[in-house]
Amino acid sequence: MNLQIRIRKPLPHFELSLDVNCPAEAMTVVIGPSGAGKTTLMRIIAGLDKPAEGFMQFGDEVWLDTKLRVFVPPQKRRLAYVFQDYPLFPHLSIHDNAAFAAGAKKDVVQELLERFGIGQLQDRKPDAVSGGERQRCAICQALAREPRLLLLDEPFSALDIFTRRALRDELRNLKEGLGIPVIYVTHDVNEALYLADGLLPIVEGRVDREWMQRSLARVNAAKSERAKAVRDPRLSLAY
Amino acid sequence: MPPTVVGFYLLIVMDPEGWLGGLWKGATGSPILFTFAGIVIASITYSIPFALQPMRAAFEKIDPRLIESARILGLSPPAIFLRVILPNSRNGIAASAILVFLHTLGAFGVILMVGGSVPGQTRVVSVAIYEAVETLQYGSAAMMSLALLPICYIFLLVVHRLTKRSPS
Amino acid sequence: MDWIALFLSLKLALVATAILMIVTAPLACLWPCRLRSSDFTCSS
Repeated sequence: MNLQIRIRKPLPHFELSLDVNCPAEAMTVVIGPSGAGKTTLMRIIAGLDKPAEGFMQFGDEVWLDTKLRVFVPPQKRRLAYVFQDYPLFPHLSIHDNAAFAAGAKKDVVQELLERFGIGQLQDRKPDAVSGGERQRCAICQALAREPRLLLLDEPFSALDIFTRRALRDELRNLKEGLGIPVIYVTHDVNEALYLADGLLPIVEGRVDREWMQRSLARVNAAKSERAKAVRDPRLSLAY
Repeated sequence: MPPTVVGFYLLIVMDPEGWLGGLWKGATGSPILFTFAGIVIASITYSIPFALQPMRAAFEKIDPRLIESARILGLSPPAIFLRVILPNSRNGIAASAILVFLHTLGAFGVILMVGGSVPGQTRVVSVAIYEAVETLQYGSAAMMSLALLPICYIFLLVVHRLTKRSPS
Repeated sequence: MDWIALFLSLKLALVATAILMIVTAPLACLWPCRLRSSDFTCSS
């Protein structure tokens, strides 16, 4: 099932105005500088924000149509949304957090916890595990609901580089088996290139392919510098 | 509002001619004034602000993102209230309950206005102490006051501990 | 010493607290939604 989005929402400094289509069973990476409206877009897809006007359809299900006053509330969209520094429920253990969603199945939860390597931590409270483990739990919680669409809003950017890389790899492996559309938000071009099936560059609320070209050129230019850095330890401090 | 003013308005409302008193009489066949049920209603009205304030403070402290993620995870609003909001504001609710408890224990003017002093029905300890002093039975008054002290002290101690510790 | 009065006071306080808690908790929860910018639990 693919997701069709056509929305307009005025924001303080510019207007978010998009007409995009996220293909089924693919990872669309939304990329752009900070404050470009990426998170607002995700919140609109999730149903936490409403655009001024627009239309959104998932498969053959209309989620939003401002003309016909259609609005499906977030709890009925059956999607999953993991954001940066995702808050787990502080009063529940890791296991209960993962199993929190409506209709989460016990064996599915157990399998997910094992798969993400936090099975042995399941009786701990969120404040007794590391940030990486919390984020793993957040992903388990999101997937336990067997969502039809997965939204990831800079899910790993609050983590240290090693944990981030490990989780990024796990996510790439996971994507193959999921068979649902994934929308991933980042401002890191390298991360985008590593994960994406399709890129959606957003600058100041609009799709901006030129910005993408410039960023790609910059990444390519930096590549040789980085290769140098590996050989030259003094330079490597910069990376 | 002074307790006697609250009591006066309640007296008017709960009079068999008043709307609440009339409603009660229609339902049970007896007037509500000067009964235990009457002073329960009076003390509830009298204590509402003390119940609301700490609870609202606790609810507002909950991270709104928790509520958002619960919505996305498919929970209906009542389920969010039971599974997210209540467990994360236990301290605030406990503090509010204890404040109300102590406030009701200390209520005097309202109860005297609405309930009078019917032994075994509406003569609560605050009224009993007042009457004991009026009739110069200082010994009895001292005993009852002494019995109240440890109860109040223990409850206040609990409130203090609950409000000091940050929630979870 | 009026033990009945003491007992009655405790009973009154307990009953009033119990009722008040059950009634005001949902009320106190719904209240802030009107003040918040994003729609809270009560909307939708």
